[in-house]
Amino acid sequence: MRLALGAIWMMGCLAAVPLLAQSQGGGFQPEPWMGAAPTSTGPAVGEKIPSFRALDQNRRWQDFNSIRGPKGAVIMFNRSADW
Amino acid sequence: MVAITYDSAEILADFTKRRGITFPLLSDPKSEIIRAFRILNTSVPPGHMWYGVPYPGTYIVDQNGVVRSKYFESRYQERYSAPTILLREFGSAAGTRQTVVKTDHLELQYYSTRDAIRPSLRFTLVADFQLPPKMHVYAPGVKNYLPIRLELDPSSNFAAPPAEYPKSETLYLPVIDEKVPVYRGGFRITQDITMAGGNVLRPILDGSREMKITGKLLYQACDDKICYLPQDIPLEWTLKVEPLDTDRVPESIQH
Repeated sequence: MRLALGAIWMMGCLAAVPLLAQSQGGGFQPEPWMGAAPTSTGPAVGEKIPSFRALDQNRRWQDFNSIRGPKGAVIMFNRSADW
Repeated sequence: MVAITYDSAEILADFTKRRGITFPLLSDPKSEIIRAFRILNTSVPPGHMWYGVPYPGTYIVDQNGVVRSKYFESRYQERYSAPTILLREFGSAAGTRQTVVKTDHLELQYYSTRDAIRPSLRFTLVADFQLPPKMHVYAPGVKNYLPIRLELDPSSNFAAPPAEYPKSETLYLPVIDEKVPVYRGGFRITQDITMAGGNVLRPILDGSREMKITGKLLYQACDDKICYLPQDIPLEWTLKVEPLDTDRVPESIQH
């Protein structure tokens, strides 16, 4: 089955993502509210995302224009890269 | 591609160094971007270490910044794995072990989008079919015939929503003057799996760190001349089970 070039690039980058997405150590005390389902999942399909600008891990400013590829972008929100 | 968290740039730099991350991680320590996206976790009380975190999720956006699809889970512990997103977005997830089964009526290649899984991870079992010319199998919703069905043996180690079947085509059978939903040629059935939490998987993590998911495929195939007896193919996926990452950044830069 053929993969688009963009998919191959994403595959390489995303190989590291489970570490980020699954870093769930924490050492926190369980609280009842921790299991609450999302009250919002943000912009709907078809809606434009808000503009953003932030420092990356190398202290470089990034925004949507700097992180997007020719077909767009994958934007992930994670709880933490620490706990 | 970018990942956004409420961590400081120092935390993200440490994580990048330890894990060899090659794409941008953006620091949103005041949760301004998270609020702008309307995904601040509002259940966290102010003052708690978690305050400011987003509901975890992934957006696929086009070059104009318009959301094309998004992936969120209802429980914070659970995550769509990247290969499942790739499978849905691009139709493929390369690099995993495939099992090939050939019968008189079809060829089946089945695999998991991940060979190694972790607690609370969502991944996908995939079954790709190829039927020879003139052969068809019956699709869900058919009456008086056995529709193709992927069934998993239940287990406390995972949860499985209903399998996803592709849109069928309608075949007219002139001999009996019937229209029936069928699949012909190539098609795919997928089955998402959400792993149980680390406490449930503890015996596996403390033991072999290997898990089997078993099930079966049922179908009835017909060609232009004959309908064959219903078939039952056993299925088995062997997966490596890994623990969650519990490493933290140095205490001096922790939340």
